[in-house]
Amino acid sequence: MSFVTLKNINKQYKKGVDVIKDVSLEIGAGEFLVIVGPSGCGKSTLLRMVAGLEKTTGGQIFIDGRDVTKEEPGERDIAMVFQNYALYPHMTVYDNMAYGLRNRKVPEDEIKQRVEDASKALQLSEFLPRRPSQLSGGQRQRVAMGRAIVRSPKVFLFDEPLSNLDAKLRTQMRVEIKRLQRELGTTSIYVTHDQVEAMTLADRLIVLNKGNVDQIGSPKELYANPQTMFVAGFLGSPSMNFLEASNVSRFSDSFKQRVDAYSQAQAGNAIQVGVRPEQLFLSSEGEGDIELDVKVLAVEDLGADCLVYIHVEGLASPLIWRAPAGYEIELGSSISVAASAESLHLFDSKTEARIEI
Amino acid sequence: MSNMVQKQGAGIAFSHVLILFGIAIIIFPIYLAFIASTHDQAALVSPPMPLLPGGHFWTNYSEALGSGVNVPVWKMLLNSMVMALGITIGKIIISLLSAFAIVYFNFRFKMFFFWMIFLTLMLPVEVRIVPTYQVIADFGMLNSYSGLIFPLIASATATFLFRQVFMSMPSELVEAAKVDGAGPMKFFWDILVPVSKTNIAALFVILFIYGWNQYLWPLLITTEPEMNTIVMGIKQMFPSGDDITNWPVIMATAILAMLPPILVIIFMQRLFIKGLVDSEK
Repeated sequence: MSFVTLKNINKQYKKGVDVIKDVSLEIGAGEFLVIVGPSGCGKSTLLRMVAGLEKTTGGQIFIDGRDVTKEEPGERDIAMVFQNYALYPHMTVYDNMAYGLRNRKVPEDEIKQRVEDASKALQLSEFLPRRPSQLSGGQRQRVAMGRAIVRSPKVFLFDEPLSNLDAKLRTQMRVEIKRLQRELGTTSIYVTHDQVEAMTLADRLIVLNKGNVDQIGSPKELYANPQTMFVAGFLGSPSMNFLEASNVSRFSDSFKQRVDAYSQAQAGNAIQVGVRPEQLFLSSEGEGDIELDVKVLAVEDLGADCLVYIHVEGLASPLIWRAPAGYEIELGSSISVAASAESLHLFDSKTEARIEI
Repeated sequence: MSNMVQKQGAGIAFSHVLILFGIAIIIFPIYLAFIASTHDQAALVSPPMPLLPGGHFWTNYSEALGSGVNVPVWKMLLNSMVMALGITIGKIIISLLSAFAIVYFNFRFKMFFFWMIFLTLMLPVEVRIVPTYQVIADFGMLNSYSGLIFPLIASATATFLFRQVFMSMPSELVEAAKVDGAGPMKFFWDILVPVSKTNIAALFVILFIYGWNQYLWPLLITTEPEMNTIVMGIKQMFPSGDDITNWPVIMATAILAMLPPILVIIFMQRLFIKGLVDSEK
């Protein structure tokens, strides 16, 4: 088991275009770290720098305390799983898995043993003599995993490995990746833009926003206590609703006092109120700490629950309320929804940082 | 447009007549050459010219192969084979390597070299033939295989072809190989070359015929009949003075000269169609 340390990592493509800005972090031995963020946030670049496929502009990378910043990918003892699998098309599944071991001069009978063990764990045994072109997408993905596993590297790097699979297979493979990583105990860094993958796989989660680390923590922690509006909006599906304090129809007296106190102290900085769709509830006059008078725009019945799109006076985009299963209402009718103060996430409009009042 | 592709009735007959006519025009001279190679001199020179095979096939062909007019044809075939294979293999190796360098490495003046190679596309062999001759002569390579092969090896066309092939390959393939601990040359041999094998096969056919059909260059640098290649050697068989032209043997030589390229096409075609069928790029 190995640990990885990033120290003030920077990446500039051209002068002045920062892709990664001064990222420092510690990845503990055996930890499953997920880097998540929208496309273009630099998450793949960060992973590729750990792999050595991309040069760093500044900073250092350590694996097990050894500075690998200047080393070639092959010298770092890492294995990588790519989004498009990147299997060698002219080699059999067996040779694909064996290639990295052969390059490291592992004796042939040991290679055989390792490939067989890995293919058993991945249910690939019967496909060993086949070419990648004769496999389905999910099988190819498993071969790519196998190629990483046989090497028993210090670190696994995953670059959006499930993006090319269909939804059902993606869920299966997600569970399988988690199981394998637990069994092998190999330190892993996993990049994805899919917040469900991020939430389910991660021991620890990093939300990357325009090359900056917005927040690091366990999925639960990030979900419960997002430190920025970006993290709050990124995690959770459907994502968090945001509205300004002025859009709120009614406050409870105690909550109103706290909001006013903050605004006065901050010389009039507005407060952004964030509330998750599942925290809203249907209210009659006077319930909850904030209450919104809204118009129903659309109802999506998902079976287990309903997503109700509601319009708030003065807001351009609709909010979403996760209503109980079977909720039915005429479109266009006016209702009131409310939320309690404990379930709200408050942010400063200017800094977009979390505030407690 | 569809009725241009799918014809019926009279249309089919007409297109067949047309294509048969076209084939006949192309085949007839070859047929004549073959007929001429099966008669003796007397039968050929007395009109009318025979249009059916005669009985001198074995004598003409064994004379051509064994002794020829100036030099035995087997010797010229061998020379041509060495030259064509040398050019083909040389071109493939050089262009694979230069395309590899251009696509996968960043070095100073990369674009400059790229354009230098590109420029040579615009210069046909004839333009640089005098300086090239001078260079080869100074190296003492006249009348040698090296002299026949080396000046024709550099190939901008093949370099470009491989450049395009390499650029179409997913970049993750290189990265996967890097992570697997393969150095540049190992990646080249283990992955790049096997994955491009269909392109190599296709290029082999084209380049072999190009090399085999070289006429001007061998004519310039080989003065000894022993080093004649078959394509230019046929011309050398015509006597310069009042000697009798040995038509049957010359025709037999011409037929023999056509065989190797045909064999290469037939053999390599199977190989690269097979390559195309289980292509999995």
